[in-house]
Amino acid sequence: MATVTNLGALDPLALPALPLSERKALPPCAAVYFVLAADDAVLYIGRSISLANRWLAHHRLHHIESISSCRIAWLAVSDARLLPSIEKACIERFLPSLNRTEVVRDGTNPDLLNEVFTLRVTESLYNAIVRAARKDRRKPADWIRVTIEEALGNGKHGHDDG
Amino acid sequence: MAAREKREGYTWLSVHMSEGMKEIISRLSRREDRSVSGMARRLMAEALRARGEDWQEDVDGDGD
Repeated sequence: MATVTNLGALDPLALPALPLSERKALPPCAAVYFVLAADDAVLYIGRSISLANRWLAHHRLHHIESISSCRIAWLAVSDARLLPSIEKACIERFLPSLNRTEVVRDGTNPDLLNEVFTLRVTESLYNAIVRAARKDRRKPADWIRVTIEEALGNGKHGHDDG
Repeated sequence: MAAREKREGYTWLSVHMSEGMKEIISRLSRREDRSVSGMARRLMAEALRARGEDWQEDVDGDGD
């Protein structure tokens, strides 16, 4: 597993990477990931406690698939609690174009997240969601979306056969 | 991103998702004869349990 003590020395092009089309082979590790364009530009940076699951159902998948020859590079992180700070530092350093267009509300692009569903929860469940979101340093809405995407992405709910 | 509203003793959250994700979860909910809300709640409950989070189960089930 890669470890980085100085993010200033981080070179995304030197990290392990796979073409977007081979994303099912991504490892299930906690990681900060980099979407790289054919010309090596850093398009997007994100984080996940399971890289493999994240990319089986990423909310940006259709958008990124429309950009030819993208690949996903990743920095495996042994302590998942460090993911938010490493992701933030990487975004600030590399200024990926898609992240920069996202910072509108909750760090996501409302133009892409254009479907809404209403979710009924008890106060007790809502509080559990808030606690989990706080631990992951996400806003509750962002936590819900990512959690559902990752749950669907892990395949046990059979989303791809319908 | 998510509006939170309290009514009828529950908290209602409006969650934004991509069109593709909404379609997947809608399809799953139809297959399992659940509401979209109930399906999303189940997925979150599984994730929370896996993390060791604790909360009081909804005794009203999937009635929304």
